[in-house]
Amino acid sequence: MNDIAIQLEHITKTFPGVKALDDVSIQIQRGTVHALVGENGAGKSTLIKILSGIYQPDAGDIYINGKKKKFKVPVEAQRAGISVVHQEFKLSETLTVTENIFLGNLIYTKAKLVNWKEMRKRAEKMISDLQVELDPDTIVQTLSVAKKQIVEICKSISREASIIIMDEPSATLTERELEVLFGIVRTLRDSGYTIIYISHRMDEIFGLADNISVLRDGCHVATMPVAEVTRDKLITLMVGRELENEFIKHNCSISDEVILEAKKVSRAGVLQDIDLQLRKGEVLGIAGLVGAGRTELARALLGIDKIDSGEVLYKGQPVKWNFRTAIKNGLGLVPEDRKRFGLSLQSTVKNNITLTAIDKVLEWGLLNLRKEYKYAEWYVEKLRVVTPSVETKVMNLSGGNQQKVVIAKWLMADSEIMILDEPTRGVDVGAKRELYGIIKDLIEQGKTVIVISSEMPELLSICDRIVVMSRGRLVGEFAHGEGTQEKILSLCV
Amino acid sequence: MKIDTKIGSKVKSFTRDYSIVLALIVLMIAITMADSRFLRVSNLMNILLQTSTVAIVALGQALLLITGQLDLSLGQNVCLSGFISAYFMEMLELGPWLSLVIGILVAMLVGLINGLLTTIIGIPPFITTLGMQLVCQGCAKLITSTKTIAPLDKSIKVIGRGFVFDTIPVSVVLMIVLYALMAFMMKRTRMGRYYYEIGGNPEAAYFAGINVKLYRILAFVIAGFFAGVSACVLISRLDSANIANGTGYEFEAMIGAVLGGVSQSGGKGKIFAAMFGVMFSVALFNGMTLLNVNPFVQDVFKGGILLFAMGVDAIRTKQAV
Repeated sequence: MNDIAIQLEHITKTFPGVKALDDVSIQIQRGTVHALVGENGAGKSTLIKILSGIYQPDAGDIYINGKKKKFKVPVEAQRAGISVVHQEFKLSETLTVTENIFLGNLIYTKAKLVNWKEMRKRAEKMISDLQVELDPDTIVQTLSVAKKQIVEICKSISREASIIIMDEPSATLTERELEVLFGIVRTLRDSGYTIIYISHRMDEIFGLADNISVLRDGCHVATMPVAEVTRDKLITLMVGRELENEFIKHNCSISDEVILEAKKVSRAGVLQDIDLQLRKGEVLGIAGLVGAGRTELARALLGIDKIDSGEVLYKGQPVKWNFRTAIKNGLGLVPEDRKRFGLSLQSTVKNNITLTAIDKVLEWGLLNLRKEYKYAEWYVEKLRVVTPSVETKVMNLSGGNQQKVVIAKWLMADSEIMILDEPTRGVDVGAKRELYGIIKDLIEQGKTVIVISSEMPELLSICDRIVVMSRGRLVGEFAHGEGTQEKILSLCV
Repeated sequence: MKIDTKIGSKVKSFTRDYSIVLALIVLMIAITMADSRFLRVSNLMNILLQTSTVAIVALGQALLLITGQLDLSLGQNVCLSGFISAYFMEMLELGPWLSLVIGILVAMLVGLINGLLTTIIGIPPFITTLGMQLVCQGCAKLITSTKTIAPLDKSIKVIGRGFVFDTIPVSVVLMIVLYALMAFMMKRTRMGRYYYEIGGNPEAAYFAGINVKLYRILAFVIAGFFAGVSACVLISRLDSANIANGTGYEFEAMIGAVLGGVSQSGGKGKIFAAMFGVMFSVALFNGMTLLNVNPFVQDVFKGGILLFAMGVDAIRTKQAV
């Protein structure tokens, strides 16, 4: 009994219309990395929110280190030693690393003054214990995403947390930064911390976790040691059905026509002499680390950012367009941060889908609402968006379905070239497959696709060609089947 | 069965969107019980007339709130543009109708400047229009050294004091027509849809290819237009341009819009509900005056109601996230 850090018993939580958690009982052993997996909407976030005191369960009990606890507010969970490293960091960007670590938890001198010396010393120790490099005096703003995450982890440690929940910590990290994170997680585990690790990436779960709990539709499906489960078995448990291992790359021939071309495109500080040809009907992958200039390249091609030198050619003609003219000419962007840039969350599925191509439902200058409704329904059906109706607000949809809505938007706009920036981030396994299927369909309809992704297996399997970016330059190119993760990675760094 | 649920959901969404109408009815019953003079035709007419000028301004305020902005200079814009019209009409003896058009154009110009300052320069709407409030007031005072211009040309009397079929005030008809046009615009045109989406998430609207800046500037210009129209009605009704004209309209318009359920966080709100919101607050203060409530207390109430309505909206928005 003593080695159980968290024991959940019969936890049930209902939201209006949805049973988010249904009689969930899980035991988490102290000093282990416990992976929590499940498709989007399976109930992982709800469970985390209950553990961290944001939500209160309708029924069921929580035992922390054998003691029954009831968290009415997040502070009580913190006091019980539970700390969450959220996907979106809660850091004060303009303060230093040390200040952030001890924010709200300051150390005082005997005279009741803030003891900066002591805090800096402790921060330094914490960072060196984690075996990472980070200057405690750096302003957080200037740090990379990976480093910011380390600050968040230090913050948890400084609050004397014994249980650290990491909510998709890897989603925004590149492969190399991941290694560092794994190192940190292992170090923490070995020094007695209990880690609850949420991720969609199979590689990580199998490389890192000791035990796995699977949630599906709010129910606890299984908990087992990682050694006792295979990847396929795990996916089956998560989705509740066998996923056929279909061939996800399309079979169409690529034309010789160069539809979009960059010639010596440069933008101070982010892009340098980019030469790139996109052929009609291909899936072009852009690999690289975060900050390598992938998104910036897309923005330059789309006219969102001005380029300093070089030119962009569309169908052989040099273009000097802004984003709106690019859209009119048939380009579309599924942005990385879909909730911020891709969707209006409080708006309906219908309004989101039809927004870009609203002119299609205009009749004598007025919106034909019936026609609009039909269009929206057609795309919802076509992309198999799971939603009660097209009048449902997008914020009530799961990540994968939200992503489909963004894609539907560009489909309706008849985009010939679609640029997908990290299309499967935060999307569960089942929906991922569907998105790959959608990309395949796009190609079969004669469209051209650029995929920017940090997930190399994804690029390797769906792309006709992968170019690699590093520090604002194109540093390599692989045809389908030529590249391997190792080859690409060696070019990235 | 299917039809039943459809009607059910329609009723549900109506009561949600227009709960202000119910509140208005309850309020009217309550005041009538306290003082039956409230229900006199002359008093009700008074309420309608007062509503019309504020409600026309509220159209602009509601549009701005829906796009996630606001305009605190609308009241002084009403004052200034009324003065401009009166000045051209009486001092320069220009045609009365042309003078009104000039007044409206000036009001739109003020809106345009607000729009450019917020959108192109990047000053927050709150600050921009707070400054513009003083600019408008100062200009109005400069024109006439704070003297009232009265009486005005007889031919414009019809706007503020005329009746349709000898019963319905022209200004009330004008208000309803403008509301109907605006509601139609918001529901059935591309521009209306763009406004809701820009208010909902401006960044996503940009990434959907909408010229967000242009539409935002245009919203300020439209709000200026309505301020100008309201000024025409007001100077015609009062037969004078006075430095006190339009004072506080921006607040009353905001109270009306927010009471009507237009969200201060943008992207939400029904146009007609704003009109009922204005009517509610006009009726409330009319009732208070009837019941001899100290006017200073009424001011406290006015501010209080705005804060209350904003608070309710803020809580609702928080819950939705």
